[in-house]
Amino acid sequence: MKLPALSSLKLGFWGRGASAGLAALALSWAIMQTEAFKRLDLHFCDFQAKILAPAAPMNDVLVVDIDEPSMTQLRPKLGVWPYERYIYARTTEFLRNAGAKAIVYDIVFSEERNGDAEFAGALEATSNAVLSGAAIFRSPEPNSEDLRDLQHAAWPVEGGIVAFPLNEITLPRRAFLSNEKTLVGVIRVRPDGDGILRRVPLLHRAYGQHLPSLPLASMFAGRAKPPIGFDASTREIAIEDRLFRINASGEVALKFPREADIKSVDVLPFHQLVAAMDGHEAAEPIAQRITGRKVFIGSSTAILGDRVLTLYGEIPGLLALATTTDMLERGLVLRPAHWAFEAMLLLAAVGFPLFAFRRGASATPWSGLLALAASVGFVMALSFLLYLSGQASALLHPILTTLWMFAFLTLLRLFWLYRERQRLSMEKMAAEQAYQLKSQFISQMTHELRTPLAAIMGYNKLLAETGAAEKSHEQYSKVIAKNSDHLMTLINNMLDQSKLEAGQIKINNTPTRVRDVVEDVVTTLSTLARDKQLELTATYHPDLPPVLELDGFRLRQILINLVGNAIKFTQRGSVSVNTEWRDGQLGLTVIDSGPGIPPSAMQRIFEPFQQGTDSTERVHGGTGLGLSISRNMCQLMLGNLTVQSALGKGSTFFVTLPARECPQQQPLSAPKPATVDEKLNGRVLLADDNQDIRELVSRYLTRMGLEVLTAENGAEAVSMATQHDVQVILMDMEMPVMRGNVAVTRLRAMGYSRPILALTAHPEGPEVEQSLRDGCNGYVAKPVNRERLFTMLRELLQRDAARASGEANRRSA
Amino acid sequence: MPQKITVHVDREIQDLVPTFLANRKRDLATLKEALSARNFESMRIIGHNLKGVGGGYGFHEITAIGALMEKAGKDAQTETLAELIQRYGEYLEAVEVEYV
Repeated sequence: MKLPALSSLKLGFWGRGASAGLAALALSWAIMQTEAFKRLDLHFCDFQAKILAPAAPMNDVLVVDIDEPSMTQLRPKLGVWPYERYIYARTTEFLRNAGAKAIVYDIVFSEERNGDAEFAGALEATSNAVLSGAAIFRSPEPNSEDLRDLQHAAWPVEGGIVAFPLNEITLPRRAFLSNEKTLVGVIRVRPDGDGILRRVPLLHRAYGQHLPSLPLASMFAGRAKPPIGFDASTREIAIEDRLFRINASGEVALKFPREADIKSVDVLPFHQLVAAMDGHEAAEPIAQRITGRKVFIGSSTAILGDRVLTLYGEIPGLLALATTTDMLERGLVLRPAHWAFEAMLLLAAVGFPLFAFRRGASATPWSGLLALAASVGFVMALSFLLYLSGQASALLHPILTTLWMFAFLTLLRLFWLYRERQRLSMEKMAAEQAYQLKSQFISQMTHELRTPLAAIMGYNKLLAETGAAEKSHEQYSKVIAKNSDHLMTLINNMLDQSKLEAGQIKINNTPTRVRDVVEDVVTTLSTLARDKQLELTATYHPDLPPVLELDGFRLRQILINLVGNAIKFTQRGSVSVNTEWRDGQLGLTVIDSGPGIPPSAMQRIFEPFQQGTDSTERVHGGTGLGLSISRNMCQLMLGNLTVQSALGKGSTFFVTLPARECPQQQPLSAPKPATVDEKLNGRVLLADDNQDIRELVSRYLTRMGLEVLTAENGAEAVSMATQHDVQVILMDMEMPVMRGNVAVTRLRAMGYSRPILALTAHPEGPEVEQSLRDGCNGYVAKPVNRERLFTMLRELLQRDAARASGEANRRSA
Repeated sequence: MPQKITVHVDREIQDLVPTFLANRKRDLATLKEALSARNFESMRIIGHNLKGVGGGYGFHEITAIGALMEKAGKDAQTETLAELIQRYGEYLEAVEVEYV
């Protein structure tokens, strides 16, 4: 058998498990490096983020959008973009007076423009304005004034803090920064590889100074720049009482609220604000929307505003800034999972499969898969819990991927095992089929052998009866008879053996005279014993009930085998059969004075096709089936066959059979119907188109002592009846060429007077009447009853003989 | 393996039985052909023959099937015939001869 490659490594169960685990790890590592995996991983994160998004209505921010309608409507008043700064001076004042919590401009005021002085003045009077700095190129090298501006905008931080590095920075005009309280935040959005914003930088570093991002700056609008602490070991930034865990780029991961919260942020078109300021619209409702809120002013127009992709699709950069600020303020950020959680994840990933396979090789594949499913489920549930508590595990995705890979490999192995099982079951089927074919072959072969043999025996019998003229014929015939008898026994043994193997032999218990059976066996084999000058005797236990309920046919078979063997192997002395009866057990012992059986062969002799010694077959012939069959038969009859023997001291075979005693008056098995022993004399013409009927009825007629002529149709019958002297015609009614009744009519028309019997398969129909009208003397129903046929023929032949003698007498008279 | 049906046949006709059974199997093939061609007359005749021949050899079931087949053939009852032919085939498969 071809061995699979894996098992040739001779790994134990755990070895295979460990190698599968390692393979899963290697495979998952390789997969995690691929771009497709990273994308899929992000999808999973987003999925998790979306379904676990917390509810956070963003009521604290207001977005003032210089949108397309505003630009169109305000063109007559403000001209084209960029607007002169007078308008911002006015919005700043209006917002301040309306009680805005912060006034954040998502507009970079870096170049000089009309109205700067007014705007600067408005800012000077405002304590909670935040202006934008941009990470865009301004000049090759900042001059000392630029650096001073930078210093002015920078926040004090502890050394070694991780911040997002910027190579260039563009700040608002110096004039706008004269107020200490006006903060500067950097607007810079850095989406992930797939273009989706999931993280924001907290701090940026440019020219050695640290500047906050606009969201961070907006958080502290109206307040002093907070001192910022940093723990390098945990990479935690401490701002006042808040802790932000940042990544290597200084970014903090956001925990997005529901989509509805993002989309429900209050947006005020710029022209409405201007209309309110100009008194064209009621200022009060607008002011109400402003009071107590952080107001973000910028543009979402296609030409100016940037657009940002989020979990919920594209939103204007202005809105992203406003919501991000709110998220930071609410603490909607993620931090790495606690090490204890990570340990639990690892434990679950390893523990469940270990638990499932704790029974080693006897573990079922299903328990393994179940454990994998359980660990995947547990890991995912834990990760969900973590997310809800604002933590993100670094191990989660490697573990999940490895588990999936492990499941994949397990499935592969299951598939392989399944195919192996299919192959084996196919082989098993083939083997079973071959076995069945063998049995069929044997029974067919024996059947085929027996048929010609039966013919040989039959014809030999005929030869023996008829060919006594020559003395040599008789001699040959005896030889043929002896050999064919022997052959028949062998074949019958083989048939019995194959029937035993196929479990097709059934024990048929009937009231049996055991004494008769034993006597019959002894009588049958006495000739054989006499030929070898052996004494063959039988004794009967006085208590032996006359009639026992057992299978007499099989008992006879067993005894014939045992006694026949004893005679065959014994050269001189005696063979005796003793019958015993004890406690409902019939005991039969067959004792011989033969050479005995060597101890080494004691068990072997009961196996099929085995004999005592290798030379036995050459000396005594036989298939070695007799004892095997006999023992099997005994066991089928719930008894046993054993042997005791010693070399040179003869052998004793013991048969024990449980049997029930029968009351004596119970009738014995029905006698065989009396055979027709009386012989008839005469010649019969048998006309039937069916060969099987011809053969069968011919056989019957021959056995009755009659001579038989046959015809296959009516026409043939007519011609034969006229050519030969036949005493009786048996005529089938339905025949081709010429129907039986037509033939009868024709014969009668020709003056034929001998008796004709109709053969009919319709004894109850009109056919019989018709045949009698046509000239038949009687009918024989098919299937033909041998006794009835005999009776009818005897009567007709007697009548015919009487008629013939009457005719002769008349002639002679 | 289907249940075997044992038929006891007189040893005297032991040598006729193989031919008899071979002829019955040939009949089965002819019957199947006749059934697919809906040749009722042919099926009636074969049924008639089976009726006449079965019991004589000891195969009384063949005679019984033959009689039913002859009637069904006469009445052109396709379904009954199909059932009988099926039964006949199964019987031939299952039958086993024991010579007594």
